[in-house]
Amino acid sequence: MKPPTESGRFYLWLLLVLAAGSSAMATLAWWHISVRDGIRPLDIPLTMLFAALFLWVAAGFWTATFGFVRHIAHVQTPLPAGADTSPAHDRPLPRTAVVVPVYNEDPGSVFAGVCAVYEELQQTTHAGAFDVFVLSDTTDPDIWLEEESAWAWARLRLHGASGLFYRRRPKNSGRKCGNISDFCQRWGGRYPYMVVLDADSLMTGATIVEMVRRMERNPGMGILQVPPLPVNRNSLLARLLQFSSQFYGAIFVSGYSLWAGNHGNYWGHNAIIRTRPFAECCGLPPLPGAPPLGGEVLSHDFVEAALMQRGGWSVAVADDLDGSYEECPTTLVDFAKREQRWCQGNLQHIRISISRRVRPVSRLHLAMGAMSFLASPLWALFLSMALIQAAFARRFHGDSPASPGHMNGAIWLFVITMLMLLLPRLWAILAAFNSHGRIDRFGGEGRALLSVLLETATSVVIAPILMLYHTLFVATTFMGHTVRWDTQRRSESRVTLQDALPAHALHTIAGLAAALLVQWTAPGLLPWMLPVLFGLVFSIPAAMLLGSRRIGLLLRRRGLLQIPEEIAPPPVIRRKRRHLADYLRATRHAPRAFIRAIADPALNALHVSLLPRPAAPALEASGDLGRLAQIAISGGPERLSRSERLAIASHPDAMRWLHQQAWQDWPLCDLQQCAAAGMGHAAEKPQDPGDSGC
Amino acid sequence: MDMVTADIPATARTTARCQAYLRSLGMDNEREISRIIGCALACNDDPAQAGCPPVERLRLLWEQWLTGAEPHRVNLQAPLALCQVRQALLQRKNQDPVAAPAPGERLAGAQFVAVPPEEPLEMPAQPLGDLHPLLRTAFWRRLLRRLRRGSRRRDETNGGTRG
Repeated sequence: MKPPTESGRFYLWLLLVLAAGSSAMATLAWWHISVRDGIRPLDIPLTMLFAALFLWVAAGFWTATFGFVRHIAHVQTPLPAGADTSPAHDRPLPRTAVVVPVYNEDPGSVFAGVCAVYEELQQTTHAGAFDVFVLSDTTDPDIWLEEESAWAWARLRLHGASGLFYRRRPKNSGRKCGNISDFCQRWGGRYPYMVVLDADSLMTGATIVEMVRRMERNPGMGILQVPPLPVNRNSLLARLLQFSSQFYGAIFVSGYSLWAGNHGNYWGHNAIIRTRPFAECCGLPPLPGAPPLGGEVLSHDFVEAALMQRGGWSVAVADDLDGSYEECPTTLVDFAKREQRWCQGNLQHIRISISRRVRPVSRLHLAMGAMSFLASPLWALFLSMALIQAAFARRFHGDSPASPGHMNGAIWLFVITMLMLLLPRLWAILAAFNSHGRIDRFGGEGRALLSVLLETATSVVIAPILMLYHTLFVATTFMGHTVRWDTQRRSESRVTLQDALPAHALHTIAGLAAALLVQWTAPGLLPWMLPVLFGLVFSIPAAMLLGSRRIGLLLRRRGLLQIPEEIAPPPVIRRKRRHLADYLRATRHAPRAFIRAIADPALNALHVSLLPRPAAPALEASGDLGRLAQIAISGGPERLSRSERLAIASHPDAMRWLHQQAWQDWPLCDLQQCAAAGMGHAAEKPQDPGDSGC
Repeated sequence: MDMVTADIPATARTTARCQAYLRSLGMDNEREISRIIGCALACNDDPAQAGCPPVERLRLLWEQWLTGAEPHRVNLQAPLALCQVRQALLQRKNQDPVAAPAPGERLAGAQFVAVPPEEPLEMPAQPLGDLHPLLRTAFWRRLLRRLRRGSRRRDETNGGTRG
């Protein structure tokens, strides 16, 4: 059954008209200012770039304005046709899987989060309806074995936790969407719904239950996305991101939810999906052509939303639901790494947005995703061309771009552009003042306003750094360099000069070179370019300051950049912190997981029993493996490379043989240390080396 | 290869290693550990001998948990079984410290499984990425060809050729 989706598109058309109209007016103004002294060679391309960039800024502005108006006027998102509005609190819920795909993530953090979500679900009246799956695509043998150990720890800690499952794929084909697809193909028939979480996602039990209820009430809904709020981080950058996402993000999401209605988007996690239609509609083929724009689909979420909508299912954003969290990068480099991973995926969307059989609104979402990266090179190109134009004008006509004739119009246009960028912040402030108690949850009036000023000033510094990063990512992608899909570093660590120097040397050099060039060729432009140049020239100290946990915590103690979850952490966050602290205490002195899986009888037995069946060929028939196992026993596992350890860990006979040999040959002290940190003990009490008697 | 009966005597030949091995399995009853080691060492040369109940019972538990269950139900069983054996031993220490649970006695209510039984769904690959007809060069070529053909026909209908 495919019920028709709601088709009210009034707000979408309104957004398009307003964004296009304001962009057209600003572009006309720009054209008049530009050609006041006659049309120059670069005027037409500059005007086209201006129009594209202004359209992008205007779309953001009007989205935020929609959100603000919606907040003031209490406009509700229209319900889809056929939605059941009767209360359904007492109905039993259908079986739902909470799936957590992971890839070389920190197992302690993953399972601490999983324990927190599991406990939350147990506290609802529908605990029996939910199973939790950790779907591992991990390729690092130590992290893989640590995941198994952490899973056992979690199950013992949760008193058996019969609904907490763990599955690892030996080959991570199709990456994350391949991982989810494998789940659907193996267990999709058991679960009408699946809630997809990221490795660092947290959701409250009440929110998950409400998501299932909404899906039950709206039989035409294919995906319901709950916007995740970034929490739990303390570096300056992370706290800036957390504050801006929460303080301003609410009106953007509200506006987005209004114009997107039931033709919204899916962000890859913290969402509930109707499993059967998802399996029917969202099998992703490789795209025609070679990478980077063809080949395997890298960024699957937008595409899956488009495919669900193509199949007649609605996709909505539940901006009124809270209790949905994630963690954000803590340093500029980590932020840029994440952006690079997304960049190639989003640029692939250009091809899909101009493909056959994609609904117009999905084309819009896909194009907007691509534009979020293309805007940076367009901005860089615009600045460069404006500089060239000014330099030529000065050299050949002696005309300064800062002449009084240009000045008034240019200042007006600058003011309007700045208003488009800054007014959403004002809307967020007004909405916070208008909403009962909201401003107090951000530290009170004074501190919230100071935080907005601090965030705005910092975003001026960060914007040009990201512009250059995005430009590089887009350029390298179009030149055919494919992305290495590395794991995101989610832990907080200090940014030293050695870290910042190689990462931002290019920004500094580019900033200095541009400053000299502007001063030499068109000094009148220097004041206009100063905000951009400042961020680039000082990118190295900026990266160090932004990555500083100490400064982040200092501001937190002063009550700046505060978010509601810092003032009153919800239980799910407190649970995760408690589980993580206990896990870290329990494994503080534990040897690496590969050694533990050899020495600890319980972990060894668990690991061997988890290996896929039918088992690999006998150890004697496995050629090099026997030799590698000998090396591991005589010289220690450290002498093996990562791939060699992976090969051994994948072979049940090799692991059994190593276990026997280790208990014969390794020093008793080492064995006792492994045993003290072993599965049978770790769930109960923290261990230290003294416990082992060594 | 079964670890408890064969490995302890065969690989951990000293009492210290036997003790460490049993402790690493989660056992903390020293009296029980000594008794198991005594039994294990006693039957070392004759694994088929059934004269040492705790080890034999442990061995049976291991076997059941590791090999007896269906493939999808074989997972955390071993450590759980051992934890339960330990629990059982501790619970019964006032009555009969040597008595371990009978094989299978405690398995039913506490099976740990890595994954539930599969219920597959088909997930066919969807057509995606074919350029919109308006953006295909073939479309434009065909259109031009048709236009040319059309104009030729018109010319012919008009009774002559151009130029």
